[in-house]
This record gives sequence, structure tokens and C-alpha cells, in this order.
Amino acid sequence: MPEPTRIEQGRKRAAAAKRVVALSAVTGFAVALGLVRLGHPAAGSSSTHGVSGSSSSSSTSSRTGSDDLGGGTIAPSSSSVTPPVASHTS
Amino acid sequence: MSAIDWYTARAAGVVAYALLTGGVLLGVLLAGRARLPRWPQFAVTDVHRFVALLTGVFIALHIYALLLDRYVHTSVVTLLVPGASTYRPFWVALGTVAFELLVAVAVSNLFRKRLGHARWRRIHYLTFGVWAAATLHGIGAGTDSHAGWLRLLYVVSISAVAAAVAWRAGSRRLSPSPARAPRGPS
Repeated sequence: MPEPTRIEQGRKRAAAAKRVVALSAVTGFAVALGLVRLGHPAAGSSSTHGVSGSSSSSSTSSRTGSDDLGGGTIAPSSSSVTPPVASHTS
Repeated sequence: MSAIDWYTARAAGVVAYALLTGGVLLGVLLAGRARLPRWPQFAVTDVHRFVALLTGVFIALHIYALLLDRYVHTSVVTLLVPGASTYRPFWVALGTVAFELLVAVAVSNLFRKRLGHARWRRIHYLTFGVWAAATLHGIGAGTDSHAGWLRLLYVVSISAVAAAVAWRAGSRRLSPSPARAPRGPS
């Protein structure tokens, strides 16, 4: 009988597809978890997330992503250093 | 409390969005009565329902993780009232609206027989609104939207749904609905 076989095949295909979807979702979740964590290295390294109120501002800035300006340094004014453009005496 | 609740919320939201997109695509295929070789209609319907159910599971995980998070300060009120959140209120409100519309669609599925097919189908079209609001919610409220992998997901999802809707609209124009088709002699 061809009809029951086709139905049975359809059921088997649907069951297999559902397994693939479930597995993909779980794998996708694990991958997304890793990617999201990698996207926020500052928040990922802080183990005190949500414990102290003082750390909230830094964590919030890390979430916005583009707000991180990096670790800049302010150089002291050094008037004794001659700029290279001035060395044209020769 | 660690940052894992925030990561869980984001990851679950991303997976829920991918599943929602898959559910919408399967729904469009079903509505358009696409002939898939070796795939009977009931099998596609079965997978469509499963994808929708799994979407609900990941949305629940997304919301639960947000409730645990201490920075966004999500409460039950901010989850249910659009615009009540202090964190990116407009974009979060879109997520709230998407969630509530999805609940409405899910409830309509439970009362499908009582509603009648035409009414149920009209309500089911709200899923497009859910998907659109979820897309904007993810782009606007998500903090990883600048990431290349997530941009790729949004581009692929939007392109796929747009293509599916265009195919559906085209197939509808080509083949008139049975109710409107002129009846031949019996």
C-alpha cells in the first residue's frame, strides 16, 4: 500500500527535521553565548558583575560597545624636546 | 551574580530570533502550499509547530535571564508595559509588543476551531508584525548589533523573509483562491 508508506516517510522526515532543529538551536545557543561573551571582553573579565554599584557605569559602557575609547594616556608637556621639523639648519 | 545572565539573555534572544525567522519561512511555505518533494504538507506543519514551540522556549529563557540581570533592571512591569523600561525604552518596547503579539497568536492557535479558519488566519498574519518588531528590537536594543556575525544573521533573515513574502505574493497573483475561482460545470 503506497499511501501509508508515504505518511510514514513523512513522519520520519518530520521527526528527523525536528531533531536537527533542536540540535541546531542548542548548538546555536552555545555558539551565540561564546560570540556574545567575546564581543564584550571587559564585561567578560569582570567577575563582580552586578555586585557593586560603582562597577555599573563601566559595565554599561562596555555593553554599548562603541563607547569604549581604550586606555589612553596623557603625555606631560615637554618643552625641552625639539620637534623634528625644526632640524633643518644644514 | 555573574555576567552570564546577560550573555544568556542575548544568546537566547538571538536563537529565538533565528527560530522565529525559520517559523515564519515555514509558515509562508505552508500558506503558499509549496510543493516540496518528499515533504507532505502535514510533515511541514509538524516541523512548523515544533519550531514555533522552540521559539517560545528560547523567548522564555531570554525573558528569564533578563529578569535575573541586575543592570537593565527588568521587572515584570517593564516586560508587560511597552515603554516602561529605562534601558533603550523604544527598542525594548518593540520587544514587549512582539512578545505580546506572539502570545496572542499562540492563544489563537488554541482556539483555532472556535475562531474559524478565516479569523484564525487573519490573526496568524500578526506573526509578520511579531517578526518585524523582533527584528527592530534586536537591532535597536541589542548590544551586539554592530558585530559582524549578528549583522549577517539580520541580513540573511530579512532577505529570506522578503523573498518568501515576494514568492507568496507572486504565487497568489498567479493562482486565484479556490473561493474566488469561477466554478465550472459539475
